Amino acid sequence: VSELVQLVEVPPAEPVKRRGGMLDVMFGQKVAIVGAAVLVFFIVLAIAAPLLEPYSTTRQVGPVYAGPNAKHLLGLDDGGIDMLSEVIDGARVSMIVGFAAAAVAMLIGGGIGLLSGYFGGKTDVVLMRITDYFLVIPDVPLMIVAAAVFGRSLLNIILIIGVIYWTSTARLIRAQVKSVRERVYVKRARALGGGHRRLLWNHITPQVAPLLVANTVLTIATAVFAETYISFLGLGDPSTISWGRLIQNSLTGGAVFHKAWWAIIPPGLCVTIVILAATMLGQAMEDALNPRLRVGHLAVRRFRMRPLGGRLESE
Amino acid sequence: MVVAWTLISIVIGIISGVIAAWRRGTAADSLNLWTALAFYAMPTQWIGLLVVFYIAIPLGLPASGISSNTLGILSTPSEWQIIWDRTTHLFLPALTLGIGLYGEYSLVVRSSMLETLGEDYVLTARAKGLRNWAIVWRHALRNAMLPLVTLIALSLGTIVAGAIVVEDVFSYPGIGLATIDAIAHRDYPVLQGIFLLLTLSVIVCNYIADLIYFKLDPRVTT
Repeated sequence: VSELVQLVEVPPAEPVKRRGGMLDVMFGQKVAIVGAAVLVFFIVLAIAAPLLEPYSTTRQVGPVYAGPNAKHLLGLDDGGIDMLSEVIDGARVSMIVGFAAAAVAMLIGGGIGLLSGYFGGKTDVVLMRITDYFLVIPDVPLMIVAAAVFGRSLLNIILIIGVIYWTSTARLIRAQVKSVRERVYVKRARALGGGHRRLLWNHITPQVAPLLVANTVLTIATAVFAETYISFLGLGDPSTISWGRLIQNSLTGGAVFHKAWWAIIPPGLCVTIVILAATMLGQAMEDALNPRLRVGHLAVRRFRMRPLGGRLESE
Repeated sequence: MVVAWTLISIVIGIISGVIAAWRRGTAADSLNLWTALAFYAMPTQWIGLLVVFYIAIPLGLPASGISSNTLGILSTPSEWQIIWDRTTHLFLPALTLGIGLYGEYSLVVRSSMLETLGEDYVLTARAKGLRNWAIVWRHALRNAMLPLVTLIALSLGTIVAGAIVVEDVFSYPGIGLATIDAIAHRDYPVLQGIFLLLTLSVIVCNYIADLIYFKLDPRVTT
């Protein structure tokens, strides 16, 4: 019985304030703070990369696959280049791709979601079929083919990833817009003669914007992940260093056979940490925002129960 | 073997997800949650490298190719030797794929179970005095399985694609490696063939998922 009590007891949702409500709920969760802190750390790392790198990433500074020591904290790679510098440098490309691709996905997904949810009817049907189409395309092969056909450049990678991962954003925003559209204040604005553009831009977009941002943070994780795939398959920009490329290097350079763990672990670990951080932050933001996770009949029921001599009582 | 590991990761994923949802908020739950999240966040090719580095080398398992080059040079190997050779070569790639899938399944099962356990009929079952396992298996899991079936079907369909990087790490000659070769050589007919295969496998898997839906959910009758 005590198990069940533990099981279904959900802390009552705190009332959402109109201003700052999201931030309150968000930062009430430790994971959100940790996630945000880690992301900020890597952003700073990426921006300040040239200042922080102890060595050049293009020059050999020691013997091939030299182990970690006081001068080279993460050892050297297969070209005798300092690993620590490379990992810091890789943060730049990976973060740029992550954020830019997520921004592309946000624009496409947000735009389609808004239009689809607002106009409904035929527009909705057509746009949602297009979304479904993109949803079922196997993403990895498409990325590979697109990267191979359009050439290897950073911009292409960003666009490809953005174009593939906007679907979930579009669906979420559409659902949200559909409910916002029916609210009284929007109807009132329409009755006062507000045009489509005014309604969409001034009245609906501000309501869905926080959710859009939350979803975009989640997309960052996907984009960073996708970048490692593309780079790993040798389809990344050949002139830049990214974490995906470092992982590829460690494979093609035979780090495994040199027992050079320092060439394998750091880039992958960075990717994992960034993805975890973005997921935690995005999830926390979405929890704080998505009404579906709050409203009683759509989310986990909030039963408050206490054991009464073997029986249960629902309040 | 890949299928076998997918099944294993499905089973482990489901069991751990169910336990985590049942014991929500306990140490076991958070341990599983973080493990699953971490596996989910790791790039697959990196898991592959770690597997080679920390499992293949210490255990002396083969880490590349589909069979040993030396096999059959000195003597004609028996069938069992060939089977054993193939199995050992398949073990690590399949393990890598399984680790990645486990994280995903476990997370989905957990959230789906949590939702279901809050439903009225679970409370009713509890009120009838049913045992815990009966509630979990007969009442909650059957309903929580629905989103999972879709997920598994989709992931089985795209597993061919997901195996690309794994096959690259282990230089395992499968469709994934063929894709990479075809791209490198701009061999478009081969790519078209691969895409046809991929599309077919996604469609077939979705069809199977729909059939399982009928079985699991009596409400779906149309």
